[in-house]
Amino acid sequence: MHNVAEAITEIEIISQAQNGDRDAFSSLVLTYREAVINVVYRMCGEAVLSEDAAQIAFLKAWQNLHTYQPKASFRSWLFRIAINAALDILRREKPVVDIELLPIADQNNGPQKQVESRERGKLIQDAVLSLPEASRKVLILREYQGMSYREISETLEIPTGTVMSRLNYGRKRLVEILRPCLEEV
Amino acid sequence: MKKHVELWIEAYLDGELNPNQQRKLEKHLENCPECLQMIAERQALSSLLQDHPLRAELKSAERFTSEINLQLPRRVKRTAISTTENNTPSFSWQHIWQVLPILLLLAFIFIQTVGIASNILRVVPGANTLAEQSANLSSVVALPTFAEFNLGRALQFILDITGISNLLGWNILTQIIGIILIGILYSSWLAGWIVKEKESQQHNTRNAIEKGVIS
Repeated sequence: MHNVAEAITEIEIISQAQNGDRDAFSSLVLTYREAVINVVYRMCGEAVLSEDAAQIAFLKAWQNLHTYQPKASFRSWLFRIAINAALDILRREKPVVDIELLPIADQNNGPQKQVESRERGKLIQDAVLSLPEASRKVLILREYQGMSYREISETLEIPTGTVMSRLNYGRKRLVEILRPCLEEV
Repeated sequence: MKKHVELWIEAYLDGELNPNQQRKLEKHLENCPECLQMIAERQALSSLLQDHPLRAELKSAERFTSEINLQLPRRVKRTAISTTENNTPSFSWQHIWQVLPILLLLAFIFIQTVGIASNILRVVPGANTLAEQSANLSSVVALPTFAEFNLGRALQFILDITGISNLLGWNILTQIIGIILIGILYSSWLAGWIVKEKESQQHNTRNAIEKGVIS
């Protein structure tokens, strides 16, 4: 019941924003700011770039708000714009991460128990960045946003079967790259 | 391991299998150490990914939002009131503007008809003009009388009051002047319509450019 009430309220806010109400749009920005930055960060790999890309995403959302239909999830619609903004900025600002250059632990010495959390975080992010765009998008929406296959399918406008196969590929690659870290978990 | 089993395991861990598929997979897992290994790896991977959230100094929510607000381009408010105005038919200058050419056309047809009729009557030997005919209307047509109310006299009275009887007696000069006046009025309307269309096109082009520049 609470979720239904929230959904109705959000629809009203979106409708007001579509009519040009900036306060209503600001309310949407505040609601989705963290999630959008998170998605964009996982796509870009850099915090400053991710904030810029997130702002660009919200500006594009404002411009194209008239195209949003309430029958689709607003979150899916917004994430689609955010992912495209992230990819645009990534292509402009950063090169693709070369998997061969990732500082993976020397496997001859076994798993490294002394890896700093920060370095591990960087390692994980670089590993995610090394995935092909198609798999990266699906993995980020599933692992970091907890979206269902149907929601991911709606966001990226791909069939559910494709979501599953890209997710499978992305996870397999990450397991290979991060195997030493997995053994510590 | 078969591909479809791998996909099922992914879906199983994501809670995307239906109860029937779940039962089948769990039965399979009882006898497949390879699949169990895969499940363990996937669970460890998810934990690893979740354990390292974004750690960075970001702008405050208020600052982030206000920066976006400053950059938002102006959009025309589509309010409920303006929508009502568009949907509710009401008498306005907009309606007069749209109906004017039709009125001018009707006036043109009227003048032409009266002129032609008058000219025909003049050439018919012994015929009277339309004005004289209208004056003698009651003697030409047997119009009904209701309790001392004479329809013919009533018609004559209306024609005099409205000035139509003067019109019916006009000559070719009156007709020419009338047509010229209608021509001038129509040309003015047409010029106004062209200017209005151009302004509307420029406005649409400006909006399209704004969208194109930002996107």
